[in-house]
This record gives sequence, structure tokens and C-alpha cells, in this order.
Amino acid sequence: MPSFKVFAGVFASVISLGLSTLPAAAQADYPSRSITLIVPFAAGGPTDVVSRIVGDHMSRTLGQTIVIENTLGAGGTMAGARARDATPDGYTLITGHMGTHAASVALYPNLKYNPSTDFEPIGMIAGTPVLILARKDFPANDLKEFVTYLKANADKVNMAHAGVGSVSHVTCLLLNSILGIKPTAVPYNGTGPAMNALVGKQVDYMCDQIVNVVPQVQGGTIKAYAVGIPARSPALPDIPTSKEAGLPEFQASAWNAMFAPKGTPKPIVDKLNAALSKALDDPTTRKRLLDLGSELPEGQARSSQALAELVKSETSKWSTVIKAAGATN
Amino acid sequence: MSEASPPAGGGSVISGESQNLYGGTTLIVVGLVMLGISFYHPGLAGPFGPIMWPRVLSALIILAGVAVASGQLRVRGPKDFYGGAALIGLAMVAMLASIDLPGMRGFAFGPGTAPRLFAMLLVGASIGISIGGLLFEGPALERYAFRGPIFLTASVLIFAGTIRPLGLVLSSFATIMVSAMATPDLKWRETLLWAVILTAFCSLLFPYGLNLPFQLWPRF
Amino acid sequence: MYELLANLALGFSIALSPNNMFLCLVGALVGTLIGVLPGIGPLATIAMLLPITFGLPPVGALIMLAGIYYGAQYGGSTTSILINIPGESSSVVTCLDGHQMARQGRAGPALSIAAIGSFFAGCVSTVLVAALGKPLTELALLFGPAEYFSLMVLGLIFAVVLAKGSVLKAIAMVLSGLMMSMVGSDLETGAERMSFGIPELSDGIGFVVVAMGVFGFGEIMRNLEQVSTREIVQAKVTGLMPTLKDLKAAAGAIGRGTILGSILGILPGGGAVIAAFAAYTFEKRISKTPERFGRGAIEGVAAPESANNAAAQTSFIPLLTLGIPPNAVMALMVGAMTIHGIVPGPQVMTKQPELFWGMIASMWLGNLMLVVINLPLVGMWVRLLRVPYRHLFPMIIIFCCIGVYSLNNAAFDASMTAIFGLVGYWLVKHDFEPAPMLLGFVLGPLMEENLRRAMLIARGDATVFVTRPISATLLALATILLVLAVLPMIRARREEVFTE
Repeated sequence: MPSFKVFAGVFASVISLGLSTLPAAAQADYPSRSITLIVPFAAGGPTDVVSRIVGDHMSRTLGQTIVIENTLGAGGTMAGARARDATPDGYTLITGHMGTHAASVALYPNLKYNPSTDFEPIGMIAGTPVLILARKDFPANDLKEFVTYLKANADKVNMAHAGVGSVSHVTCLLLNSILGIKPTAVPYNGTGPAMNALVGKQVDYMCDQIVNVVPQVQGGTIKAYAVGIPARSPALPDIPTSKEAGLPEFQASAWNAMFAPKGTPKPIVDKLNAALSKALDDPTTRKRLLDLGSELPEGQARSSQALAELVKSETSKWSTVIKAAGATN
Repeated sequence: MSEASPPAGGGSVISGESQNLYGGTTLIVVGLVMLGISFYHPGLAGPFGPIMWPRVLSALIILAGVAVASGQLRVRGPKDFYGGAALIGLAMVAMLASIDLPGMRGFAFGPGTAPRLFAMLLVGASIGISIGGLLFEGPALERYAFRGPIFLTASVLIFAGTIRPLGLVLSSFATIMVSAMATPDLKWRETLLWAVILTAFCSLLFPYGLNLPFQLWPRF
Repeated sequence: MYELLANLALGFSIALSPNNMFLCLVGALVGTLIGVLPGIGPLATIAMLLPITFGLPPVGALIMLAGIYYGAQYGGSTTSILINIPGESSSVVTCLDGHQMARQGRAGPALSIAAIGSFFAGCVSTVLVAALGKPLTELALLFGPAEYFSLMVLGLIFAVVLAKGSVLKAIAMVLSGLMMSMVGSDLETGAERMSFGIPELSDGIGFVVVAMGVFGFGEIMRNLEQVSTREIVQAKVTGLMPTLKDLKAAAGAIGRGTILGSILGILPGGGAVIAAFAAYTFEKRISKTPERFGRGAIEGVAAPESANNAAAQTSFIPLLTLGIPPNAVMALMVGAMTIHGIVPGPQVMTKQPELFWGMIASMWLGNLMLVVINLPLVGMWVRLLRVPYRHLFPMIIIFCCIGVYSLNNAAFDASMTAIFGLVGYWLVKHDFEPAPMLLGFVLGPLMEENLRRAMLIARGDATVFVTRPISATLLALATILLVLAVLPMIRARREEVFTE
């Protein structure tokens, strides 16, 4: 019964309130009060959902609630700035994302933080593959035909995207730069309206994260040509990888990872990394994430070092693409 | 404005002559400030580019101000006249703020197209309103109250400034107390008690009842 | 037909299970509570309550969240009427006559008629969702950028028509609203527009910030200087329930509002707002005594309230049949579904009939519960108005501050609200009406975006707006309305001049 849960929650929180007013104890006691996880995007979006799913399990491991705080603004970079300025005590964390912790460097020349030096990487949460999509009645039937058609009709096609700097925008810039075309880009305010336009056949093609795509592809309202990861996604096993379909350069996956502000003590980072890893091993959490079409990191890929390297490589990858397209903010 | 009926609520009316003087002077000052900003503004455009319009409009406002202050121009409907003038000012701010945004690129709108278009239309409508204020008899200006707006604004600003550093409890208590001072029939003891009750209520309802991420006390 | 009944029976068998009924009730109650708290909208609450639903079965969780959503719609009209603060863009119009009625001591009938109208609209539109969900989705897909642009133009004309004073002033207000809505980063290029280098402005100014400042705080500032009116409000609170005369006057308005709301609600983005404004404008136009509107006409409450509630129900259609969320709250519902392992999409209806029909049945049930919860509450709200104003307004202020802060956890938003409070105060002093400004503010970005999209897709050919039939019809309608609005105003102005 939810009411019981609410009251139990209130009771627990009242007790934790008593504890939280005590002066900060040694790191060994971490965490002694609730942890704030800043999510740079709106509630209900892919990053938010992923954060809530792992946050729920991590709360149980750590014995303290992880409170999600959605801080919106400037493509998620407001949240990044806020997390950087937070006290590095392990009580403020942020879910970083391909946009906020890689593409932003090239998109926002006045970015207030440096993704690689201002944060302590905790660990990767999940990756979300990006697919190449087209409206249902688009003349091309596979990726090869699609590429040929696009190259021949570059001035006629309309590409939809979910706003400057969004995953769908940046990854489509990658696609366009591989093909060497500059189509008319029609901006929408978020992936929902962009998908609506694609289903309504008002635009020709777009790139989007698998979360938003699976039901539409299964329902036959749009076409999917390829997925930009090395292996096929179990959520859409019939869709070939970009390599199989003949466009191996198109490698695109939106990732979400957890970071703490620079200077957070190593033991705390390790504790959080272990809790995150435990969440990713939990069968229920795993299933929830996999149902979304996510790719989960395994083994070495879960370490903080792996995340630090990923941030560096992704920053340079997207900077090249974005600068080539001339899309800065 | 002696023929106009006093506005509802008993706000007193300033006499016609001094109102013209005050109003005219305000317009002149605003016009001068705007003109100054337009020269200070690092707009790329030359003197006859887009920056021309704010300058012409500032000159117009100054001119109208002089005419009103010297009694050359009789303001029949001051609410409309000054209201329209203020909106011209707002449109000019928008013009200056959007002046260096790129405009049309071929058939595609630029980011600056719509703001400038709406600013121009607003100038048109506002000039119409102001002229209406000169031509038609209208109600007199109401006197502005100061106590209410000042304390209310201050209380909200106090909330904004203290909510993150001080936490919900102290912040809401301060906000309630300051906002309560906005009314002249303030009763200290009652207000204090009420502020305590409200603070307690908010501190329970929002973080616990609604599960919102609030910090209750200052972080040491 | 038989299939529909069978489906509905399935739906009710799920919605009427004690567990789900309880969840629906909890949702409706929480929704009413948060709707009544100014600023805290369904968005923030659903987001915060998501973790609580983790332990529930998916259908139950969604029934509860949906309950919160339309509960908040009901609650939102309460703040509009009592303290002139519209919680959501679609309840702006309710303020116009609803708050006037409250000032005249008729808060009870205003609240009751809002609840009754919403209930009726909810019932009708739920049936509509059930019976015509699929074909209506096709209709929504027919709306491309050109159609949306024309719809927005029509919406702005509504704003001009519903103003009670000068048409020119209303137009100036709409334009001011449009200009304010341009603040923030440009959707197409990402360029910062009129944000004066303030990063907090780069996503624009929030609706709640403007609405709460201009309507709510402006109203308090004005009330504080008018000691006399305040006391009158408190002294002459008359009956709680609408009289037979009220009901008669409102019946037609409720019916028409329901129809308009049901149709416009399907359109993603702005549908519900335009529905409320359209319903109000329509009532004012066909009324024999249009001068009562804006001065406490009961039709002016009944029509927009029915319309926005009908729209709230039908806005589930794109979500349930396509899996595409038409607004932010629905996007959150998608998030809730995905957390529970349901991926909303075109197949939900066939793959998970118990979810689809269970939700539809619970919508109806939720509406019934809401009317049962809300009608007795009317008395309590009206009593709240008897609290001395010197105690009431600090309460409103602190709730507003907390509410607006909690939207984005941004203190900056609260400061902006204070500034807009001063703007609202100034507007009232100069007889400018804030409602057209707010509509311009809400519709501005949609209008500009769709105009630019339409031009991009048509490669600069502006004739798309008149060659596409739906778009052309909407524009023609807008022109007629504007002419009809301007003509009598000019005549009235002349008369006014001569009588003075």
C-alpha cells in the first residue's frame, strides 16, 4: 500500500533528519544522510529514468536515500556547473551524459566546467544505442539505398532533430559528415515532437536513441536502417548494425555515467562505484535497464578509470564532428 | 485631470499640472537613458542600420516628454499615454538586445528575425496607444502604493537568496515575516505566531509530504 | 460497438479492483492537494512520486499517476478562482471570471461549477478516447508545421477577442508576451536571444514564473492597497452551490467547452491552452450580454474549465495510441511506464489491453472521485477566504516561492517572479490586461518554431499556409474573428468619446 510506504518514508526521513543535523562525521560513516543526484534533464527522459532505476537500488546498498534533483537549463550544462560547485563530500553527485560531459565542450565555448578535470568519475551507468531512422514511406529500403538516396537528393531531404546539441542532433551531424551532405535540418523541441513529425511523415529522417524508437519500429510507424553500435541490440534484433549495413564509421551511443565533484575523497568514490556496480548486477535493475534497450558496462568498463578515458575520447570525437559542422552555441 | 473621477480604492490623484511635469520629465529621462544605451551598445550596424530605430524612438520619446512637460501637449488619457510610452521602451530594449542576432538567411528565418519583427509591431501598437491617450479623455493615473510592492518583492528576493544557503526553515520564516510587513495593519505577536505555524507546516509538507528535495537547515 | 463494450467491461473490471480504486483515490487526492498549492504542478509531483510507485504493479502505478494529473487540473482551477494564480497555462482564462466571482462573494458557485463542468467534460471525453482514439490520432498527425502556425495565430486572435478593454491594448499585450517568449536560446541555431548574458535565462522564462508574478503577486499588491474591497469579499460570501439560474446559464457553456476541449486536446503542444481560450472566446461571442464577461460571468468559468478538463483527458490519446507524449506531463508518464517495463507505443492497445482499457476506465472513475472530493471541499476553500487577509497573503507568498523554486530547483526563478509581480502591478495600474500577454507568451515559441519549420520544409514558399486546406481554414477563421472584434470596439470607442 502506497500510503503505508509514504508514512514509512516520512518516519524514516524524520529519523534521518535527526542524524543529518549532526556535524559531518568521518568518511568511514559515509553516507550518513541522503545523497543528492543531480540529473541534468527533465524528469521522465532517458537520463532521468536510468538515474532513477540505479539510484533506487544504490539507495538500498548505501542505506541512505538518493534524492534525484532535476536541474534543467542550457542543454544540461547548468547542472554540470552546479555539480562542479557543490561540496566534494560525496553528498552531491551528477549523472553526466554524452551531451553534458563530452559534446558540450565544443557546443558551448563559454562552458563553465571541464568534463575531464572538474569531476571525479564514479562509473558508467548505461549506454543507449542510436539508430538511423526514416519515415514509413521513405523510398529507401536499406541503409545502402538510404545513403545513395541521401547523396543524390541532399538538397531535398529534411532531417529532424530534437534541438541544438541534443543526442539526435549531434549524432545526425556525425552521419551527415560521414556522407558529406548538409541537408535542411528541421529542429524540434525534444524527441517527442520530433518523433511525432517523423511518424506524421512531415520530415524524412532522423537519428534517435533506442529508448524512443523500439515501439515505433515494432509498430511499423517508422523505418529503422541501422544501429550505431558494434553488436545488434537485443531490443531490436532485426535491425543490422551500422557495420553490417555498410556504414561502419557510424558509431553512436548516448551514454549516462555518474560523476562526483573534483576532490571527493577516493574511499567515497570507490564506495559509490561498488554500489553502482552492485546495482548493475541486480537482476531486476538489469532487466529494467535492458528493457529500455540500454547496453550495460561489464568488467573493466565499470571502473572509474574507464569512464575517465571515455570522457576524453568522446570529447575529442564529438568536438571534431561539431566543429566540422560549424554548430556552436 | 480634474474632470476624471477618482479611481476605485481611494488612491488619490495628482494634480494635472504637476503630473504633466513629472510625466514629461520621466519621459525625457527615459529617452535620454535609451539614447545613451543605443550609443554605448556595441552594435555592429552603422548609424543607419538597425540601431537607427532605437535612436529615432528615443528622440521621439524625449520630444514627447518636452512637449508634455512644457504644457504644449495635453495628455487626455494619461493611463494610455504613459502605458504606451513604457511599452515603446520595452520594445526598444528588445530591439537593442536582439540587434546583433543574425537575420534572414535566404528563405530561413534567423534567430533575430522574429524578435525584431515583434518589437517593430509592438512599437506600432504602442504608438497607437499613446496617441489614443493624447486624443481621447481617459481615467487619470492611479497613485502607486510603495509599502506593499516593496516588502513583497523584498520577501521573495530574500527567499531566493537564502533558500540554498540557509535551508527551508530559516528561509521561509524570514520570507513570511518580511512579506507580512507589506500591510499596514501588521500585528507583531500574531504575525510571529502565524509565521512559526506556517514555517512548520511548509517544512513538513514539502520535503516529507511531497517528497521534494529540500534541505531544511543550513549546511555547516 | 460490442467490442467497445467488452473492452470497457475489461477496463472497469481492472479499475474497480479495490487496489486500483484505492490508488486512483490516492492519486486524485494528492493531485488536488498539489493543484491547490500554487506553482507545484503535476510535473514536479509526478517526478517526485515516481520512486514510490516502484513497488506497485504497472497498471496501478499509472492509474495513480494519471489521478495526480487530472487531480491537479481540478486543484489548479481552485487557485485560479480563489487567489487569481493560474497553476497551468490552461487555467489562465478561469482567472478572468472565476476570480471576479470570488471577489463578488460567489467563490462557492464558481468552484462548484468548475467541478461540475470538469466532471461532465471528463465523462464525455473519456468515452471519446475509448471509442475514437485511433481515428483521432490520425487527425493529430495531419497537423504539420503550417497547420500549427495557423492554429497559433488563431489562438492569439482569441486572446485579443477575449479582452474586455481596448483591442489595441490587447494586441500590444499579445506582442509583449510574444517578445518575452523569445528570450532564451534559439531552437534552430542555439543562439542566445535577449538573455543579456545571464545563463539562467538561456532556457527562457518559465510560464509559472510569469503567471504567478503577473497574476498572483500583482493581485496581492493591488489588494493590499485596497483595504475596502478585501473586506467586502470576506463579508458577503453567499451560497456555496450554484443556483438553478446559474446552472441553466452554464449548461450550454459546459457542453460547448467539452466539444472544443476534446478536439483541441488531441493536438500535441498548446492544444489544452487554446481549447480553454477558444471556449471562453466562443461563449463571449455568442452571448447576448458579452459585457458581463471578465466581470464574473458564470459561463466564463464553466466553458474554459470544461474545455481544459476535456483536453486533459484527450491529451492521453497520442500517448496511448502512438506512444508519443504531447506535453511534459505525458513525457513523464512515458518515463513512468518505461520504469515499469511498459514501452508505450502503437501496440500498447493490442498488446496490453488491460493497461489501455484499465486506464481509460480509471479516468472516468477518477473524475467521479474528484467531483465527490471537490464539492465538499468548496465550503472549506470559501472559508479560507474568511481568513484575515493579513494572514492569507504571506501564506500565498511562501507557497508560491516554494512552488516556483521547486520547479527547477532554481532560486533565480523566484527572483524573476518578484520582478514579474511588479510588472503585473504596473499593468493593472495602466488598464492593461495580463491574460492576452500570457497567451502570447505561451503560444509565441510554438508559433515561431512552427513558422520557421514550415518555411524550412517548404523551402521558403510562404504560400503553404494558404494552400494547405486545414491551415487556410484556420487563418480564415482568425481573420473573421479579428474583424468581428475590431468593428464593435471602434464603434464603442466613438460612443464613449461622445458620451464623455
